[in-house]
Amino acid sequence: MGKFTRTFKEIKKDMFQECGGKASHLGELTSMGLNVPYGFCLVADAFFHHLRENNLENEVFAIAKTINYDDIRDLDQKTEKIRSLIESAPIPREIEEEVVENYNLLGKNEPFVAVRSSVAIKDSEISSFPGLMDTYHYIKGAKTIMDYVKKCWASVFTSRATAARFKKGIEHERAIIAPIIQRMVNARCAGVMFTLNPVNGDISKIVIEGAWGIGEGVVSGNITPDRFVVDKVILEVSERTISCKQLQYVYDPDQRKPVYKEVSIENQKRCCLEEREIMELVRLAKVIEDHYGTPMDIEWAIDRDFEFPENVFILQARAESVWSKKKTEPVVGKKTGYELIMERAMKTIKLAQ
Amino acid sequence: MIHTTRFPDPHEYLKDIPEELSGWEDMYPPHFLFGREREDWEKRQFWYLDKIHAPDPMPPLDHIFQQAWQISLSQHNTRVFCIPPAQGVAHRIVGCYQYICAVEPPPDEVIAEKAEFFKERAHYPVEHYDELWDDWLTRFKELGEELRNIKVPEILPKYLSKEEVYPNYYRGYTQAYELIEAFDRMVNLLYKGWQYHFNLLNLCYLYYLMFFDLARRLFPGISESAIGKMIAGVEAYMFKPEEELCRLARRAYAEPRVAEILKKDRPAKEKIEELNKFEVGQRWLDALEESMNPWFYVSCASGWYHYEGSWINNLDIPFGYLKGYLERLDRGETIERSLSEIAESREKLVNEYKKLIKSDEDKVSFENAYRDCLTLYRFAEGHIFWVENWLHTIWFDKVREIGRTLVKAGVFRNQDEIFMFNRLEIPTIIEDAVTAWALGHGVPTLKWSEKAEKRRSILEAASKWSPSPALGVPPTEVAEPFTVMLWGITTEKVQEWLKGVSIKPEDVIEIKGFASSKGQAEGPARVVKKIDEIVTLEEGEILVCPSTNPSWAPVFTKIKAAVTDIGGVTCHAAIVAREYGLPSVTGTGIATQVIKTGDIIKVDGDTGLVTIVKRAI
Repeated sequence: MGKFTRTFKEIKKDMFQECGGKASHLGELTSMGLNVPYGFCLVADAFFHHLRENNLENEVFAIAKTINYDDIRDLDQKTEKIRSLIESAPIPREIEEEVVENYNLLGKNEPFVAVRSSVAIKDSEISSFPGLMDTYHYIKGAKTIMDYVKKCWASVFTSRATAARFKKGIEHERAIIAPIIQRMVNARCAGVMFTLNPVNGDISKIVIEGAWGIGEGVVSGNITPDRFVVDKVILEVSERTISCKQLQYVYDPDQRKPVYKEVSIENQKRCCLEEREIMELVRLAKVIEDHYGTPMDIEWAIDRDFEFPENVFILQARAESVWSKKKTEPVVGKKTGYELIMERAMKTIKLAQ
Repeated sequence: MIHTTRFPDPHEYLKDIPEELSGWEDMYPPHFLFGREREDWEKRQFWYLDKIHAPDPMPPLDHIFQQAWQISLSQHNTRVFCIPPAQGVAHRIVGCYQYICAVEPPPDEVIAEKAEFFKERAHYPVEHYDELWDDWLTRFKELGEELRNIKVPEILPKYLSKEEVYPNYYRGYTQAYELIEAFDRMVNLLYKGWQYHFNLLNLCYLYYLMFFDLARRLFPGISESAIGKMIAGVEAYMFKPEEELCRLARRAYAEPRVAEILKKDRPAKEKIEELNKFEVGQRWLDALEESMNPWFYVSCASGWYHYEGSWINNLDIPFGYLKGYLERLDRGETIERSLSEIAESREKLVNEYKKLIKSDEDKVSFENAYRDCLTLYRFAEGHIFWVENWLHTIWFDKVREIGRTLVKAGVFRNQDEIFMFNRLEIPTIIEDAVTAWALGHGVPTLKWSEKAEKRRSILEAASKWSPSPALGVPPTEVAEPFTVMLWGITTEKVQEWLKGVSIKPEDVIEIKGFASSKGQAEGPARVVKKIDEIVTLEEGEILVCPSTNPSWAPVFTKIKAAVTDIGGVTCHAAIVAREYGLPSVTGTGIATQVIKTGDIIKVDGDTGLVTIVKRAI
């Protein structure tokens, strides 16, 4: 175990104060034996070490104290100043050494990675907050990674994140950020799945949405995905919507970053998932939901470089936030067979005209 | 595309019946025809083609089952169980096709009145199911045996024999009366059997709908096939004929000489002759004999038409299946379906759904609803073997006995001509025949045989006609349990039919039915409208048929998927398809009309969609 880094194998789910919410989930999923692209995170203290070593700690938080939240220009200017302080300072050598060491363990010849933010609030159960940079895809080489780690740290002070903390009365010093460096999946297609139907709260369903390329396109809503509603018990696909997917979010070697590209005509209306891949996703979703004991929201990807089933990757899992927060009121209540048949017998079926 | 919002007016539609069918009205009792006297009422109702019981044009005598169930189904809704808003199901015939209609719910005060009775009658059968079933089966078997034992005189003798008259004992009546009485008793027993048919059935369907609704409230998107899977396969009788065949196949497999003969490509009759030549073969035939009653009294198709035949009088069919089973045993495959496995997997399924329910109170309701529904559903599955298969087989045999006597009396040219006359006309024919016999000149007054011929050609013409799937005005609500569950009358179904009204069959490329067994398959279609066409079915084809029944089960090892015109998710085709892991779409309404043999079709058992990928040239 390093001083400033934790590999996924070392992270447990109760370590979110050290590694942030996302990394603790990824550690937990990894320890469950699931197929998670391997990686590591910088612990919360690495950020403060960076500030301290560069003598920025006092300055950053001092500027933050003077922000006038009623004045958007003041908020924008001061947070931008803070971000540039964080990003322009050199990363302490001891942190960089650990990152490079761990990066080299992820694969030969500088593999592509994703740099993602993992956050928490000190002494709080909150393990996410809005306005942060989420994920940078297709990052390559230690130097570039260090730049994105800094961007990730700096995103604690985007206007939105800063204002959100103020609004909730959370001191900026309590923000925990633990950048994740994770092997990039060479996604043929990717997307999101829920272990209930988010449309009607049906707990007997798994809803999968996916499109060509990496999942960003689906999550951002820029691409209308294919959609599958699968019954958890009998494993049948009860709804199957194949959308016309004109765009895909994929890596462009010339621009060295992912961009939206046209999908070939024949692939636009083709289903992005094979039947067995759908079933494997459903299996994984059930395993994850069982493990956490609550409905989950899961990001996944299918890697074109691996054979089935090794190509099915889980990128993230978190508790579903809408339906699972509702109180579990009985839908029907406790009724005898006699009461139920009496109710049913009085009913007529309405037919729409 | 122009969508109409209503179906043709029933009275107007009579003018659209093709000319070749003229004379069809004479074939059925008058109260089955649309008539001016009740035009106002008839115009207000919604009449749909009953493809479940009557996919083909109706031969007059086969109409007897329909006549019997119109009364029995309806009275069990309205007068016996008094299901509050449910009325009966009315029948009409249009150009030899049967249309039915769930009568609109009664006024509120009648609903309230019925509820008082229903309250006391609705749950008792659940609490006493086993004893009620035992009593039912005892009554039913007695009735069937009584029908079987009715004596039909083989001939009207030129003179009564010595043994029949003085100085020997003279019973006081002749074969003339015996023939009159035989048919009357047969009709009475059949009607009574059909009274029994609905003893618990209406409640079965109501309980099923109750469980269905509850499941839908707890799991809003739960599919019909998931609910079907939790219920179906609960009663062993419908699997029995197939089980017996498996047992006979195993027995033959253990005796290579018997197996060799059974695997030959020869008629059953010749195989039996050959088996009779040696002792081991004879012993196998004894075992066959033992299984045959009652388990070979299973119809080769639905049980509703005289020309379908049953295993017992079409041994080539079960022998064909035996050959298939033996070949599978040679390949080391298992041929039996394990009922306990079916039960286990059903239980596992139910427990998994139950685990998903969050509230303990809801769990209790789910358990209660499921238990009651499963208890009664045994009747829905159990009665089919005994009524539509066993009793109908006996009935058809018995009717043919009368037919043969009438051939000998010079009335008919062949025994099956009797099926061209309805059950009210046959007593007249019998009377005509015995009167001629009694008078001594021996010639019936009317040319019945010519009339039979005429009617046969009308039915032939009718089979080439595709009548509208429905007539009249779609209803705003339905309360009748069979209409909802058995015929699957839903908004979507009605819309689908309306679509059919405005498009020609050859222009349809996509049809929708119940997603009744999951998975997808693509391949050449084989449209099988009658059982004798089943021999043409080739490995890897997709079966497209009006409906299937237990005797078709062995076919499912050959096919890739199944599509039917009729039946929901608990129909036989769906159950068997699920057991063999084949995709199936049931209740499409129009598959056999729209799809032609050789068309490449895609069946999606998850969504209920059947697509015609490429038309056969």
